[in-house]
Amino acid sequence: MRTAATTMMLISLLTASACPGSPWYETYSPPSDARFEGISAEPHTLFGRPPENGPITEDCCLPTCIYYEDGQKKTWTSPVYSKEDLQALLDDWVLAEPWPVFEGNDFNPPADDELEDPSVERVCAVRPRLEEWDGSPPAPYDLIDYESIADAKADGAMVTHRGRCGACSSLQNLAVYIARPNLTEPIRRCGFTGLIDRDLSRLACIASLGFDLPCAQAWDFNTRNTQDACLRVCGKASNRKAPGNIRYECNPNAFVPDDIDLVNDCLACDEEFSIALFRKAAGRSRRSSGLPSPVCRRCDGVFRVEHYYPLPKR
Amino acid sequence: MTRAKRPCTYLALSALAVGLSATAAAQSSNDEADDEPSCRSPYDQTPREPGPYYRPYTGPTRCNDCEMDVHCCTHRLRCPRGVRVTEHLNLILVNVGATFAGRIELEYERALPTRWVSLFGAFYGVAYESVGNSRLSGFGGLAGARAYFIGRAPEGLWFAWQAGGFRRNVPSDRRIALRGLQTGGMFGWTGVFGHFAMTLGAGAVYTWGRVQVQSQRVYDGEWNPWLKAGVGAAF
Repeated sequence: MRTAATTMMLISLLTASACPGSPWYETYSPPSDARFEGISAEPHTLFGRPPENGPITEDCCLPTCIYYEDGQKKTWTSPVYSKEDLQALLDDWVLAEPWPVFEGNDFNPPADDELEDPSVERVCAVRPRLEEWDGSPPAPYDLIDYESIADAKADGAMVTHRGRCGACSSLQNLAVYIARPNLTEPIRRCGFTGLIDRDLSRLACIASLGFDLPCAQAWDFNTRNTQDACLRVCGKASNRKAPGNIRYECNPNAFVPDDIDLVNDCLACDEEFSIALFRKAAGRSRRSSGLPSPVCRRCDGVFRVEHYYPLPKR
Repeated sequence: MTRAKRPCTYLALSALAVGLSATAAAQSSNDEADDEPSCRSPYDQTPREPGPYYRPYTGPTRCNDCEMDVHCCTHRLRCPRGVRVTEHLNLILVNVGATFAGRIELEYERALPTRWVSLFGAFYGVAYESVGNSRLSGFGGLAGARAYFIGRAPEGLWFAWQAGGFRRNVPSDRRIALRGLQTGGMFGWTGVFGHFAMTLGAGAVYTWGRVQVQSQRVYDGEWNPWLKAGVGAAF
């Protein structure tokens, strides 16, 4: 009897461990931007999708930016991506050669001379591998670095973010960025998993959010680096529960602070110590992909790009 | 090219030989000092020579774990047939600390007759450990030995060395698996109160594991603290 009970317990555990879960993107519902209607963007407004009743109101933070082109004032609004748009990113395209994993699960912070020069408009773009495509989705593509948007377009590639390509540049990872506007909280929670195998559990946890393994590693390096460098600041209960932004009263005549001065102490520390490492490893960030997050940022750091990648006609 | 042996090698070997001779001589003189009474085992009451397991008879005493006075000649003896054991040799424990974290961990421990060492094995199932928005499932096991430096197994202060393996799956439409091997040491205490037992321990564990997401995998090793808080039954 006892043997039978033990056997049943083992079988149930083995069965449970083999059960597949539902796709992570099934729960995605497009955000409603109705509360931003009628509010016009101004040069002093920030870019983001602030939480309701947060420290920054809709008047001061919108998923819209003002920019100047050829001396003219223009407005750009980040699109609200539908579930179909998300599905197309996942179903229509496949990275021809998966981004390699970071061997040893380690990544050293880049030296200062390796950092991107923000004045250079280098971009990462999706270039279809037409010679290997049979005409039915998913179409294979490569991620290629270009010196400029014009270079990418001339080569038949579609720009996907500013800066060099990295572990998170693929369209699969872009879909996760779109579907999970607030990644800070689930990734923070991943830091508390695993009794006796924290690093491995945290990595598996981050991957379970939808990322492929190299992109999960990039986020994991960021988390580890921030835990090491910002433990004291981020460990404070007041910072753990604090909203991403600090209070910001926008004023047309006032100076717009830098991104680091708009966020809570923990995020500011993360920005100071981990952002270079993350950008180097991941390539793609929200700001470099033109995606609004609940944490509002200055518009001049946001790259205006829309994520529609039509399949090539044959 | 042959290399001449250095004089210091001979010196070291000579010193070793002298040391061994001296140890043997000292042991021999100790044996001579202790050889007064020959010992009788309660098993067969036949005289035995004093040795590592059969200590010289020192008078009536309570045998290690037997409910009667027997003339113990050894610390390894089992109780004579028909004599009830008053001390428990087996423990079954549930790791309460692991249960709070979503793991069901059962451990069986058996004291060896020497009563300073025990062997144990544990099995755990990950029933509801949280990973972000998901719940992990999986299983693992470990086995090891405990040396009791204060008290007699399975009760007292101990140091344990254990090794095991685990496998966990993250529920997903993609294949996300975590598997690894672990080994580590732990200091702890176990108390037995009638048939109730409790144990507390702390140590460190090294995990060498692999995370696999679809066809890509990465290996990593890490040290982590290892805590234990268990309750259970002694029999």
